[in-house]
Amino acid sequence: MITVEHLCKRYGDVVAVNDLSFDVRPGTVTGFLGPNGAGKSTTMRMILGLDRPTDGRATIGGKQYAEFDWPLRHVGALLDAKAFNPSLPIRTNLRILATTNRISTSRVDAVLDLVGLSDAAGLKTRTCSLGMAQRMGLAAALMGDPEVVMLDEPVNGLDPDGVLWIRQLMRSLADEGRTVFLSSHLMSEMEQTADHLVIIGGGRLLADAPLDEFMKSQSGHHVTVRTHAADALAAQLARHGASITCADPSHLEVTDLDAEEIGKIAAAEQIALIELRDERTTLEQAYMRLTRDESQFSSPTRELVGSVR
Amino acid sequence: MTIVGTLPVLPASGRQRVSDLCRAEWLRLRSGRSNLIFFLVIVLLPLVWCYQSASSAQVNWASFTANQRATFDPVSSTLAGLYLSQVLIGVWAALVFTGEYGSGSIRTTLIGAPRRSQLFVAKCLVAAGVMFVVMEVAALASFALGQVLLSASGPPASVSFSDPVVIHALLGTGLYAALLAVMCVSLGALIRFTAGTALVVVVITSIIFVISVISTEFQTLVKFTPVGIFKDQISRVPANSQWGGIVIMVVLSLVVAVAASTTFSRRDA
Repeated sequence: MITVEHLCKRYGDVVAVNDLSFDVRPGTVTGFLGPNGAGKSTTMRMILGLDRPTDGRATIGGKQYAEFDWPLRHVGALLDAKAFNPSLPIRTNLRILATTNRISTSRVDAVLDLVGLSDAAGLKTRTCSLGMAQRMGLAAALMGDPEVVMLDEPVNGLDPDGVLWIRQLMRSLADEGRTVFLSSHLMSEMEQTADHLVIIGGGRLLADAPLDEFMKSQSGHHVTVRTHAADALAAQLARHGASITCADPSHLEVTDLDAEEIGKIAAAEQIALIELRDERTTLEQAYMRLTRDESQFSSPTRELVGSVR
Repeated sequence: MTIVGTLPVLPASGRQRVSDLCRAEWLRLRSGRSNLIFFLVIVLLPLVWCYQSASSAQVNWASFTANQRATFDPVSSTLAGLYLSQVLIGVWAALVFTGEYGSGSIRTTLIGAPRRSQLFVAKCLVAAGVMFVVMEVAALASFALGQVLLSASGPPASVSFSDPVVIHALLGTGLYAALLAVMCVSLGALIRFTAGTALVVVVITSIIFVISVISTEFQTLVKFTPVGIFKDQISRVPANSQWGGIVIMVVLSLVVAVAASTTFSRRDA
C-alpha cells in the first residue's frame, strides 16, 4: 500500500506537485495518468525518497522508503530505464544493484531470464534499444521479489508483443496480492491494464476512482445527424426535449434523444437523413477533456493553421 | 510470494549495512575496464620520471660537488614522479560521484541504497582503500627502480628500505593518497559535474604549486594545501613536519567530506 498525503513539490516559483493525496492498494493495478509535465515522475521520485517533498509525505506500508531494512526486497521501482552505467554489461549493472541488497547472482540471472534478456546479458548497457532498456529496468524492479511494484512509463518503446507481455505480467503480479502502480500518459494503455485510476494534471489530483466507475461518470453519448434540412429537423428535435449543437449547416450533434427516436421524428416530418450515428465518448476522450486545461505543453495548432492562411 | 517460474529470493537477516554497499562499490570498480588502465598509468607514469632522474644522477654523480652530494635527496628524486600519480588519483576519485550523476545511474544506486550517508561513506571507504594500495604500489615500484639505478654510486646517493626517512615517505604517500581520495570523492558529490570537479582537483593537486613557484608570498599558504602536504611526504626536510602534514590533510578531507555528505543527503537526486 502506497499512501500519498498532501504532497507538494515546488522548484522556485514552479509548482510541480500541489497538495496531492491518494492511496494505492494491494491486489490491484493502479494507473497513474496525466499529460507530460503533470507531475507523475516527480511524485514517484518523492515516494522513493529521491526528491524531498516541499510539504506533505509519501509512505509505503506506513514507512518512508529509506526506512526499509532491505529496500529492493519490499519495493521494486523502474524509474528511468536508462539510469545505469552505460559502459558496463547489463548483467553487471544488475549484479551491482543486487549486491547492495544481498540478492544472489543466481536470482539476477533468473530475472534476466524472466524479462527475456538472458542472451543479451553480456552486452554493454549503452547498446540497449529502448525496449531492452525497459526490460532491464523491469528486471531491476523485480529482482527483490517486492510486494510493491512501481513503474514509470513501462511500455514506452516496447513492441506490441512486449506491451501485451507487460500487461499480463502486471495483472499476474496484482493477482498475487502485490501493489502495482504504473504511470502513463496514454489512457488507451491504462484502459486495458488498470483496475483503478489516479489522474493528475498540473500537479493536482483530477480523479481517483476505479476504472469502471470513472468510465460511467465521464462517458456520455450523443448522436450525429446529417441532413440538408438541418434547421427544420433541429426545430422538431428541440420540441421533443433534445439539446442540439450545430457543427455546420447540415450537421447536428444531438444529446438527450437516442438515434431511434430521432429517426422516428425525421420520418414523421418527412425529412431525409444522410447520416444518423450513435457516438460514444471513449475513455480516451474523457481523459483528454479532463486534462486538456491542465496540459503544460499543449500545442497551439489552431493559431498556427490560422496564421498560415 | 514468488514470481511464477523464477528462483525465489533467499532471505537476508538484519539490515543493509555499509559493508553491503562497499561490496557493491568494489564490484563496480572491478568491473570497469578503464579503472585498471587508470591504475596502471598511476603506477607506470612515475617510473618514467624516476628512470630519467635517477639515471642522470647516477651518470653525473662523479662530477657532483661535495655540496651537491650532501644536498642530494635520494628519496624525493626517485619519488617525485608521484606528483603526477596524485593528480590522477584525485581525478579518478572525483569521477566516483560525477560519473554517476553524468549517466543518471545515481538514481538507480539510491533506489538500491536510499540511506545516503551510508552510501557516501561506502564510496569514500572503497576509494580510500583502493587508492592507498595503488599509491603504495606506485611508491614502492618507483623507489625500488630508483635505488637499483643509484646503488652503483653507493650512499649517500642511494638509501636503504629500512631507513626511517624511507619508511615515512612510503607510508606517508599512501596515507596522503587515501585522504586525497576522500576529499576528491566529496568534491565530486558536492559539484556533481565532471569538468568542474576535475578543474578543482587539478588546482588543489598541482596548479597551486606552480603559482607558489612564481609568487613567494604564496609559499606559506601552499604547505596547507594537498599538493604542499604531498611535497612534505617525499622530502627529507618537510615544510611542516611530515605527520603534521597528514594531520592537516585529515582535517581538510573531513571538513570537505562532512559538507559533501550533508549536502548529498539533502539534495534531490
